[in-house]
Amino acid sequence: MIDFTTEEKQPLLLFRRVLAWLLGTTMVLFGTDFHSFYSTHGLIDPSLLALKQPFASYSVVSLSQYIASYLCLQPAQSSGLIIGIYLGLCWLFCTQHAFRLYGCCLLLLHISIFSCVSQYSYGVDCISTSLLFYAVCTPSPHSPVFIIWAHTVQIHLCIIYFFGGFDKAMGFHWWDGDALWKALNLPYFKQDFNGVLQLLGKWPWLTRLLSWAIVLIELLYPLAVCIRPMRRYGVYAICLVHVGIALLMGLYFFSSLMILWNALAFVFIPSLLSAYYPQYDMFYLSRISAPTAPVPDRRA
Amino acid sequence: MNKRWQLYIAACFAACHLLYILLVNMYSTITSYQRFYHCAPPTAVATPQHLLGFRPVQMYGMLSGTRHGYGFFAPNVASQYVSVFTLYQAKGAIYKRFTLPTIYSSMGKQRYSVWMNQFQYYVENLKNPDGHAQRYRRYLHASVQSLCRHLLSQWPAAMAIDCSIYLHRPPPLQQAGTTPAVLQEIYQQHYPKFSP
Repeated sequence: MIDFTTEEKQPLLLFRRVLAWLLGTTMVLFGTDFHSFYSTHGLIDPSLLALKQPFASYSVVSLSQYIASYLCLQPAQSSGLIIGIYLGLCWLFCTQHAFRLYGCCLLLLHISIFSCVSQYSYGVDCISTSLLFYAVCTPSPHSPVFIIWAHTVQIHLCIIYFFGGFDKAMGFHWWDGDALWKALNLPYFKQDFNGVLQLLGKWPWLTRLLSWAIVLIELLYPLAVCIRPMRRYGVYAICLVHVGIALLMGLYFFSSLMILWNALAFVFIPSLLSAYYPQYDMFYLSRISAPTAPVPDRRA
Repeated sequence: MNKRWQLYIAACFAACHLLYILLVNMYSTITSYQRFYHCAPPTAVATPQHLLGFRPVQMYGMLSGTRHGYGFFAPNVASQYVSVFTLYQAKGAIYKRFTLPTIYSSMGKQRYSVWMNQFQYYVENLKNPDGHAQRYRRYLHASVQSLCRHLLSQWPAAMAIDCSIYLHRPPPLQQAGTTPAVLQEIYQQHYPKFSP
């Protein structure tokens, strides 16, 4: 078992490294299709894509056009250069020095690629952008602002699950299991475990049970993580849901990011808070004073 | 700066950030509820719509990844749209038929399916004489035309292309295993190679 309290800032560095690794790996895997989606010679004409973009001039298509004209490159070469810059920034983001600067650049490029072109953008882009945003804004654990950042990250995660569960609970198809069945049968989402799908089709009660479990876990997650003895079970249950989403729907990137966010909010952050602010009580903010040095390892 | 002030400023910023996330999600919940149960655009939420449409607010939402609500696959899972492309040779014989443009990665396929979701509004407003709906239909038509032009450029031997979009309806849970999924055609266009 890793003890995160022994090394100063170790959990935050680990979080940044895992995030950068996930972003980089996804870009490598998606790289073969990058040119088809985000270049001037892509599937859809860039001028048509720009019509529905709120910030078209910041999009990667405009960036690609600019790079191609400035450096006299072919569109495919320009796309390759953007992928290279993205991967380079992911690598630099893992380092200790000037990570905020590299993180800001990575965040802007990430938004330019995945969020600005809204026609191809979906939930995973919001989650990855939020995680990058929080990673860039991370204050030093020595600063009392760290406590506010920590709780913002935790509350944001609770809002995600609460609204995810609440919106599902409003739809009657989530209660009769049809919605889950439909989600697992979406044609463009790869199913790696067709046997499980056949089993769910054979036993509708199991699909209904899983459907109720997902709605209840998401709805009760904020409550579970607020009650200290329940926190561990809440986090385990939601991580299990994400593992299921990854295996049954092929949404590996989304699930990994959500598990990382859970680890950040309810494993890394509590360990840092207990190491740096052992007297911390969130209802008495005025009593907070930053310690000059981290508390020594309790086992020492 | 005094540490206490740093703390107050950070607390104010965090409160505004979380309030913005709450507002976006409440707005998203109300709109999706009204669309799903009443098939109507929201009427009672004009104020947050104006506030969220404010340019700096939009920019902040994009920067922090909080511009959209988190009701993933809720309140219901929408049926997905599936494309079928048929390429024709000069004499009209079928040259090739496929369901996806050349996309290798699973994320690419997911992004393509997100693009196809634009047909949801098209289906909902197929006979709507409203100006916005008409413009949307024209926009979608132009987008499909652009996609077909791209595909024709990849297959020089093809002289024309047919694009059909189908709504994929899986069988209800109770009939799983006995009833196959249904594909309902919602859009069909034919493009010759040298169309203007």
